[in-house]
Order: sequence, then structure tokens, then C-alpha cells
Amino acid sequence: MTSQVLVNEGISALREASVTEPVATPFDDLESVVATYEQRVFRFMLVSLRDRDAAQSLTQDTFLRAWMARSSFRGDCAIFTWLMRIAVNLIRDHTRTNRFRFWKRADANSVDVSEVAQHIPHLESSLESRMIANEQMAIVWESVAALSNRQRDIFLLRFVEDLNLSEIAAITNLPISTVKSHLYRALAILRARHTASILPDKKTKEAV
Amino acid sequence: MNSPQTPHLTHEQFCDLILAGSPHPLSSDFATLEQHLCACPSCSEELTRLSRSLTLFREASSGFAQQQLAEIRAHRTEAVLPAPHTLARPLYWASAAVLALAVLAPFGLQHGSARTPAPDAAAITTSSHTQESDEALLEEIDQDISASVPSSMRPLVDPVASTTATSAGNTAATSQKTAEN
Repeated sequence: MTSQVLVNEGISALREASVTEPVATPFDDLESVVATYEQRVFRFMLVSLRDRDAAQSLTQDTFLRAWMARSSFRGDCAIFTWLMRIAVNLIRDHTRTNRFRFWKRADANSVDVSEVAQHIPHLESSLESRMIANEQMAIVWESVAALSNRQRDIFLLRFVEDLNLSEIAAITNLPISTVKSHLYRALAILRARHTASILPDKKTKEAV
Repeated sequence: MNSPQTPHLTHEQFCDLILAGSPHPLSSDFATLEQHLCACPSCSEELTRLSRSLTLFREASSGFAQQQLAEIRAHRTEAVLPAPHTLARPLYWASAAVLALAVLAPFGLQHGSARTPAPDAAAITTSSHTQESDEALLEEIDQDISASVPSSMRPLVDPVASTTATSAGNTAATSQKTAEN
């Protein structure tokens, strides 16, 4: 009987302690979390939305939401995985709005592929190899624009953020097999565009 | 496995090689796929080309994002910090401001107590007129807003009535002209 009372008292004391003293999370030190992950979250946002202002705004929202919901972070996944889960949801909400559709149509703030192509590291000096590299990058850039929202998220997480399939599955809350299927479809679109770009070159060479 | 009917890699096999993850259930093991790549220049060329495109895409995206974020951070710093020249000698400026205040304050107080400006009657009248006209304008706007139909749309509410009224008016005018003649 006495031991039962002691256990009950212990439980109630623990409950009180958990109410009064919140559990420390890595997001308490938000400054260091932002310093570590801002670059990657912003990159994902920018390549996904292709709008610098929107990417900046949603990157800030990602960290704000993470901080606000920090008590729900149990540490069962990596900080980056948790942040990217928030980022993916924010992008989904953002692209659903009519305002986004309007601005996408108006094409006011969109990033041009030539701006991005300037950042290709040209190790080769020949002009031809540079042009080929620019063209290859442009094919992927345009193919990504043709993907569905879900395919684009998964494609960028895999090929820009370099995450493995299980990490992507954790972020998107999808089974690995579904993640793979989305990647196969995305790569099918990319291959088709690649093939289409090669065929005219081959025909030109044959004609010559 | 690479079947005799399909001399090249299937799409799933191709993707597995790009993803370098676990092979698809319909795919075969990597060793067999790599054997095929060694023997098939077409598949090998396509795989190399596609992998290179993806690498270029990643590198360009990263470089671009890095540059954009650096610009944003630079703007943020500019917004937070004051211009460097104001920071150069803050103590000098602060002491100069205190000195100026100490010198000018007694004069200002004396000047204020010596001559209290009398309110100008004309200015008061003008301001009261302006206030009245402003109030009238605001009332008019309030009425317009509270009306169920805006004044400019009233003729459209009952087009028949307005047409009738217009035609009646026209008839009256015509008869008046005839009488005058």
C-alpha cells in the first residue's frame, strides 16, 4: 500500500516536472540550427519554387515552425529530416494557393536557367564542352519543371540534396516503394527529353 | 536480368544504376547490369550522359543558391547595421549633440516664453471651413457606401423605368417645341 502511494506520488511529481520544465531540444538554440541548415533548406526551396523571394520567405517560415513545434521533436529522426518535412509541407501549401499560380503564370520573379547555368563549374576550357554542359544542365532544369509537385520534391531530395531513399520516405511520409516509383517516373521524363535532344544532333551528324 | 528480346537495359534497371540503391524487384543484381554496361556502348553512353547531367544540375543549383543566399545575407547585414561612416566616431557626434542642446536650450526656452504666438483669425476660419467641407465630403461618402446600390449604378437597377422616364421626358420636350412653333 505504502509503495503504491510512493509510486503514485513519484508519477505525479514527474508529470509536474514535465509540465513546468520543458524538455530541451536542439531547436532551443535556433541560431545554430539556422546557421547549420539554412543553406540546404534555402537551396531546396529555391530550386523547387524558382522564386528567390518566396524561397527566402518559406525558409524563414520553416525555421519558425520548427521552433514553434520544437516540443514535438522527439529526436527519432535527424534535425535535417525534420526540417525538410516542414519545408516540403510548406511548399505544398504554397503551391496550392491561387496567388502562386498567378505569379507562376505572370513569370515575374522566376529564375532563368541561364542564371543557374553560370554556376556550372567548367573544368574544361573548350567552348564546345561548356556549351554541352550548359545544354545538359538545361535539360534537367526544364524536365524538373515538367514534373508533378510530388515527383519534383522527391527528385530534388534525391538528386540535389543527395538523400537516400529511406530519408526521403521519412520526409515525405511515403513508403520506399512509392518513393522509388516517383523517381522512376521522373527519370523517365528526363530520359525522354535527353533522347529527344540527342536525336537532332545525330541526324545532323549523319546528314553531314 | 537482360532478356534476349530486349538487348538494352530496362528503365527500372537503368534507374537502379543511377540511384545506386537497392535493385528493383523486376531488376537484376548490379553485377549483371554492370556486365551489360561493359558490353553495350549505347546504354553505357546514355548512363554516363544522364549521370553527368544530374551532377551538373546539382552543382549549378548549389552554386546558384549559395550566391543568392550570400546576397540575401549581405542585404540583411546592411539593414541591421548602420552605415559605416556614422559608426566611425559615435562618441564625437553624441558629445557634439549634447553641447549643441546645452547651448541652444536656454535661448529656446526664453524665446518661447517671450513671444507666445497669437492664433491667427483668418487661419482659424480657413481651417474651420476646410473641416466643414471635409465632414460634408465624408458624410457623402458614408451615404454612398451605406446605399444598397451605388449612385453610378442606379440607372441599371430598373432600366424599364428609366427608359420610360426618359421617353416621357422626350415626349414632353417634343410637345413643348411643337407648341412654341
